[in-house]
Amino acid sequence: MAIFYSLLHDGYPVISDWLLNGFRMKWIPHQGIYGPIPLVVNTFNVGIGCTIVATIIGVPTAIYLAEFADNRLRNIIKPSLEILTGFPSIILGIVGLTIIVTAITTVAGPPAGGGLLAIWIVVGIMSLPTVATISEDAIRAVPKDLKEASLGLGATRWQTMTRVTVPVASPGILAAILLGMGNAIGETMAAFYISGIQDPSAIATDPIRGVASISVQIAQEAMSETRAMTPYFGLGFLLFFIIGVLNLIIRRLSKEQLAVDPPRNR
Amino acid sequence: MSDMEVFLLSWMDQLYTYIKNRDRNSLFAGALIFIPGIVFTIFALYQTIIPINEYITQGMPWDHTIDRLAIDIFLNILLFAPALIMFVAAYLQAESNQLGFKVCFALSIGALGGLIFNLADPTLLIISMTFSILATIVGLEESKKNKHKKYSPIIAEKIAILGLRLSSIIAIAVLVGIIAYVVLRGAQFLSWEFITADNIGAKEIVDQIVSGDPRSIGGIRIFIIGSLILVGYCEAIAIPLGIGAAIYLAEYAPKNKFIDALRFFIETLAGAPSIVIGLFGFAYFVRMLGMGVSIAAGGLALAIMILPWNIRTAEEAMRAVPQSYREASYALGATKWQTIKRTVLLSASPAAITGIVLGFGAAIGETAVIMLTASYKGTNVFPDNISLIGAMGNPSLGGHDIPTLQMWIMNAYYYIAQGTNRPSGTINWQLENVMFSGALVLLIIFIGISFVALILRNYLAKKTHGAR
Repeated sequence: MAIFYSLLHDGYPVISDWLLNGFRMKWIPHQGIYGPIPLVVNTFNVGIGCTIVATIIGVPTAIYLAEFADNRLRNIIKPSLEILTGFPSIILGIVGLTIIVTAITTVAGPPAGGGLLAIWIVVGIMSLPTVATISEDAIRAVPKDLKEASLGLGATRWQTMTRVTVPVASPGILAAILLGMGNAIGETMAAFYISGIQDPSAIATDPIRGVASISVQIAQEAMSETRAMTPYFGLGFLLFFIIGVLNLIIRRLSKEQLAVDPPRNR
Repeated sequence: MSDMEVFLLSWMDQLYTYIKNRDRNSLFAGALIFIPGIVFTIFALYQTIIPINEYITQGMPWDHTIDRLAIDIFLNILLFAPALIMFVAAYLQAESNQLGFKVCFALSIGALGGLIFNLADPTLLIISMTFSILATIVGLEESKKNKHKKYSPIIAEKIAILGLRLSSIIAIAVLVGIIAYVVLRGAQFLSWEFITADNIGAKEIVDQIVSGDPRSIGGIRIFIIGSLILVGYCEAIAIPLGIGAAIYLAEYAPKNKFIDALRFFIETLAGAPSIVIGLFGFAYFVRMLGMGVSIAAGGLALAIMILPWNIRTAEEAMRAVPQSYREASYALGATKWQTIKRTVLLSASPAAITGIVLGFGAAIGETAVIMLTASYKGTNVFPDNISLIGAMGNPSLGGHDIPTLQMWIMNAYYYIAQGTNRPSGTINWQLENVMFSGALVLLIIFIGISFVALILRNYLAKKTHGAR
């Protein structure tokens, strides 16, 4: 609450501008033009792309770990994935800078470089462990009776997986994916290095040119000499608000999965 | 138009008519597709050897070449992925002796060959992409055509498991690959002196390397110490608070709206991006409480970031303790507090401690918070009068900007980026290695802490089992 209040308090000039003038399309803070629309759109672009990358690799990994991997393998991979959820993002940032941004520049010529494509890959990899471990938990939380009933009817393990386990666990898996999306949206340091040349008033359309997202804009101002943070508190407030809404959805979803498996007296 | 392009175009044309007409069982059609695929692959392979040769004759460092190759192959695999997926889909649906399947196979091989072996040449790249797209189309067609066909669920399961295993291998390989990359590049500059000697700012190190005198340098010990102190400060606040809150939530808290709301706030806080926590720290600790950019502001902001994590893991661990343990303790006449202290905390400790140590690891790698609250100028000395409560509204104490490893890496990048138009690629390569050696130190600390957590978990789990 205190965070909410203090961001509201310190970002007041900007937020009041939004309330009075509506959201404008240009973000030029030193002229007093605080239009967050391009930044928000870019941020969602980043979030959705990263989520797709993380989901394509993460969810199959979770299914494999939960059902098909043997225990020894699982006992190695699961803890390592859990550790990697806290992987220092600054390291991923410089790795992404030296591998992926360099690769994009080599392929597409010098002006191209950091941008949406690089962020999708790097931040997607970053939220992969989160998506994988949490959806693995969700899949394992599916009651054994359901699976056994299906297996007892002669279904193969894969049929059981696609027709029973995954549908039952789907709210949990969706929650994991949204959590990964939240991570990706708020990710700063990894994206900081690979965002390319940014224009905060433009909605990024070219995936290999620069993209300006909320978190990176804040970080850039924080690194600068002037540190005129006031407008950025407004942005921080917006980011926090988006994450809060995502969290509300996640909470609903995890409750839904709990409802499938009522607590039993055992 | 060169001969090669004419040939390829006419070949594409024939391929297209083939796909249109579906001339089944035609050996000619199979050869038409398969042989050029192989020729193309060989051609692409040949094309790859030339640039490697150039790298070597130009005297580029060997690992630099390898690095470029690794980049190429990584990107190629990414581009090839759709063809591969479609190939598996076609395999699922089609019989393997059908011509359509063979076509898909040949196309996939062609796409793979072209993509793996050359990316720098745009013509080849486009042709490979065409292969990939054609493989996708044929695969889709085949799977549509055979929709009615029943394939064995056991085979389907085998293939599905193969796919799942593949994706897990990709996931693990990417993560291990990143770590390996940091280790490989960081190790080239890392030395004992670099870790243990004092006082080298990122700027000085960059200047020294540019002036061609890279070995007479100090090290980054003070930055490591700064980071550790900061995390220590943060944990000193977050651990007691976290465990206290967890005990309350797990054992005492009544079930009502207020506690529900509290839980929601904790969850939101756990999901809050670190940059937002950093902004809050800047607004509240640095400005409103007047601590200035200092160890206190940084530690407190980090503590706020870690706190929900600590609360959640400790609370989950306590909830996992079976009710029967508590009942046994009550039956012996223990009070509630005695029960919590001697039974619940003891059996919850493995999971709780592991969670807390993992939080420690997450805190050490955190940069966005520190950047705003503790260390942004990239100083390389500790302030003289370091104060655990910060400046606290006393401007004479000033800011206590402290050196941290994370900001050392940030600044190293900053100074390297300033000179990206330096003449030779090798100097930038070396400079990047310096940045990576800082990252490697951070990585070692992070992995070290995580391993401590895992070992501690195993050890404590054994110990508490023994106590039971």
